[in-house]
Amino acid sequence: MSNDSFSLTWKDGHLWFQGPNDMEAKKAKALFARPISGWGEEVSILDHHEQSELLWIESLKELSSDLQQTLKIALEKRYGIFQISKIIQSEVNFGNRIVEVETQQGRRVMNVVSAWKNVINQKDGSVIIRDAVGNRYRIPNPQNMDLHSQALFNSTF
Amino acid sequence: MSPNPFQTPLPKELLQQVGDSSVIISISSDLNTNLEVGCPHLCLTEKKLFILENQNVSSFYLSDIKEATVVELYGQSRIDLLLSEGNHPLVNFSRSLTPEFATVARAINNQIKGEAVEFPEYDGGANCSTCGSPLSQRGANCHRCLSRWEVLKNFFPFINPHRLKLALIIGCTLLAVACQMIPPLLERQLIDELLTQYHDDGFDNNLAFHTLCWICLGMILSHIGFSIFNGLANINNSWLSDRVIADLRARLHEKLQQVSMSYHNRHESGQLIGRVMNDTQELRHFLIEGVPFLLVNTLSFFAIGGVLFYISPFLALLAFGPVPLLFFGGAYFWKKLIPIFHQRGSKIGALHSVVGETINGIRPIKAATRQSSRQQQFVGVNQGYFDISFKLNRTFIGFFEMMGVVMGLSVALVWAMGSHSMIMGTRDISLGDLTAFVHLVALFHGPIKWFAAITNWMTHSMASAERLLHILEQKDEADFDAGVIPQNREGDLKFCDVRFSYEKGKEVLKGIDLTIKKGTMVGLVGKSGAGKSTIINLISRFHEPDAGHIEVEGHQLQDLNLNWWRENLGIVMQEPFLFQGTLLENIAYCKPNASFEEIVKAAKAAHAHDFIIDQEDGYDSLVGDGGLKLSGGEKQRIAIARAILHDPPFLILDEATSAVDSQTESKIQASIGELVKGRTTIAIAHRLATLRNAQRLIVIEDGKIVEEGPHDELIKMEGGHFKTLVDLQTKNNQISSETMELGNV
Repeated sequence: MSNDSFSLTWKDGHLWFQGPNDMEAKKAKALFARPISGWGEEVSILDHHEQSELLWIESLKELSSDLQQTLKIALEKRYGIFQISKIIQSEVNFGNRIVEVETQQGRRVMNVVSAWKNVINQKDGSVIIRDAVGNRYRIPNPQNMDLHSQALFNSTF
Repeated sequence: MSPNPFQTPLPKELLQQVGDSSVIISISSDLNTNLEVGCPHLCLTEKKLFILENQNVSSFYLSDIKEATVVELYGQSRIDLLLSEGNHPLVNFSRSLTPEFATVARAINNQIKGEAVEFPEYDGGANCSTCGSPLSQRGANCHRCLSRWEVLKNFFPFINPHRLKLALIIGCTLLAVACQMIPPLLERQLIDELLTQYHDDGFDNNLAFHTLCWICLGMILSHIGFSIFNGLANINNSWLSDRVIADLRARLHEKLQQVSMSYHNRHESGQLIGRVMNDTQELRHFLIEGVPFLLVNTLSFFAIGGVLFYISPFLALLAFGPVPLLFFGGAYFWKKLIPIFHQRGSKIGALHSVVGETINGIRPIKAATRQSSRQQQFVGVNQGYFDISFKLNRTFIGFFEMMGVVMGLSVALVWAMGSHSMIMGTRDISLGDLTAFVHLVALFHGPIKWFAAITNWMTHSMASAERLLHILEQKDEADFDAGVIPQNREGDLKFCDVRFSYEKGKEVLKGIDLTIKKGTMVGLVGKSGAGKSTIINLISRFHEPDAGHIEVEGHQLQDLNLNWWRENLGIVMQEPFLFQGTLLENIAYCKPNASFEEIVKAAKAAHAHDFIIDQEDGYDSLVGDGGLKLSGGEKQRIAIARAILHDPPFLILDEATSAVDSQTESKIQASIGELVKGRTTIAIAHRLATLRNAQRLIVIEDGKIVEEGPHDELIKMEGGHFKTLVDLQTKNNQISSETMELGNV
């Protein structure tokens, strides 16, 4: 679908998709196809109710800047993943890794169990962490954290 | 007990706005609109809804709200309000608060409709009410607040029945230690009274010979005594250790059958097997080689230490020199080793998981020729385990070698200072004192080494104890023996506004109202993911509804005796599981005392008899590993025979004929027709035509009942949900048969 054959708008906390031929605007949702292994790459626009795909986007770059902007807002609202900038302290109690972190969104404490499957190293060097209740955290690059955080990261996970 | 999150105090900004209105819910969130950490506050009153964020209060009249919905986002969620002018995002919250805000959304909707607001029993939340730490699962014990002693205490009941044996071990060990202490003291007497005195005037040879005989006899008896008591202690210890571990394994096996299905859904089988097999062994070290010897070694430490001080306080101080070093060193290492032990536990979990998956998935692995990549994956995980194990052992070896050096130095120091004192005559020490002292110091190092080694066991065992406790502390699915056993067998099965979600906030069943009359059969129809299997899971009581209830025989299902209910409920699963054993045992699984005649009758009714009798060992043919390999259809017929023999008043057929060909299915349908007579039956079938026997069909879509009625009525409803499904299936069948015909051409 070419850029001018559809439109995306952000309204009332939702993404709205309008297809070609004056199709009625549909409430939609934008989803990364691979939120863990391919963060920021392919995006699928789904019909909010029908769950059927309205549009497949290989890369945000193929969209016009207006569309990119709208989609970025929608994705930011959906993928509010906590970006860890610093590990403040950690302790392991009975297999529970209780880690206090400073994130770009504020300070959080997470409990990580079964680190071998919930701490996922990415090809780009980043690390995705899922805590016990399903909150997601991302460390863009553990090596770029301060030495104290790096030491805690290595001893905890 | 955690404070009620739905009744938190109102912030002062809201107090004024709310005024005298009665507050139904007052709750704080943990994320603001920009998805930053914050604490917006929501308040629901009888007529209005308030939200406070960044000092700003917004309010909505409930009459303006059409619906409140929970929108699942990535790693967090949001409540949206549907207003007449459109959608309004109300409040964001992290996954830690999803169940609470799912209740809030439901409460808002109930209040809009004028219905009573129901609060489910609060599970304690995602954080510890004492220290505030996030928990491993909602309502679980806080492992941060739990002391290590408390953890170990959970395992003492396994030793408790064998107290006498334990006392015997402790007694024998103490006697063995006492026997070990005798020879150095006799040596002291031998040296001081005989060997250094024989050239003195007035030395009585007869008396000396007499004393020598007693000393030698004492030495011989103490060595024999040591061997006897030590041997007895070891034999009994070996028995006790194996007994306790066997009991613990049995308890874990029992517990794994008692915990809820959701626990099994959350944990991989490989991990659980690893815990039952490996962690019990690790714990054995501490329970058997640790706990009983704590007393023995503490007593030995003080007894030998006392004798050392008695012989020479000065030399005893030298012998005690390494003690603080070893204790502080041990504490330091303990702190350093715990994370490594957990990392190792994690690596073992990963190893088990990969091996388990390889074995279970060997067919697709071979079919896709993925053996080498699978091997690479294993080698990677295996290497991780190797690295961490080596790191651990290297640290330990370093510690023990350092300890050896410190102890060797202390012995050398005792020799040096003792000899110097003796030669210079500065202290009253004899050669016998010194020799006995050195031997006793060697014995004294035994408990010290043990105290240092106990850190190893404790660290090992703590990591294992934690993992085992995680299983043992799980709530049982229910008390199987408690609950009502209905006397009146009305036989109706009712769903009353049943709501359910596997993940809180994502409702799978959205208010199911359904009555199934005694002895009738209903078919559940709908697309994949509509909620059909969830209904079956709730009837089977594998899960409990979030709201509403299920009624059986006039009682709420949750009040019924679970053993009674499961005995009265027959289930034929889509993928029947056959246990290792004979075909006969598998058919009689739910009725082990059934006669052979009854078993054959059931097998015939299920059209299984013909293929069974055709086997070399007939009904005695083994199935499972190393036994008979049955096709999917044959397995299903065995499962149907099992259900026929079980003869329950309530029956669930969950895609019971999905794995059989059309010809076999038509035969089985006839026997199912017989089977369901007089039973309250709920059936799910992918092939809609197979539900013709059902008196009523219930069409489920998106967790709601959208259509119901007899097959013949629904099929005539043009544009109806059932008719659409049937048309779609007929079309698909036509396409596949045309494709097959083309293939044959």
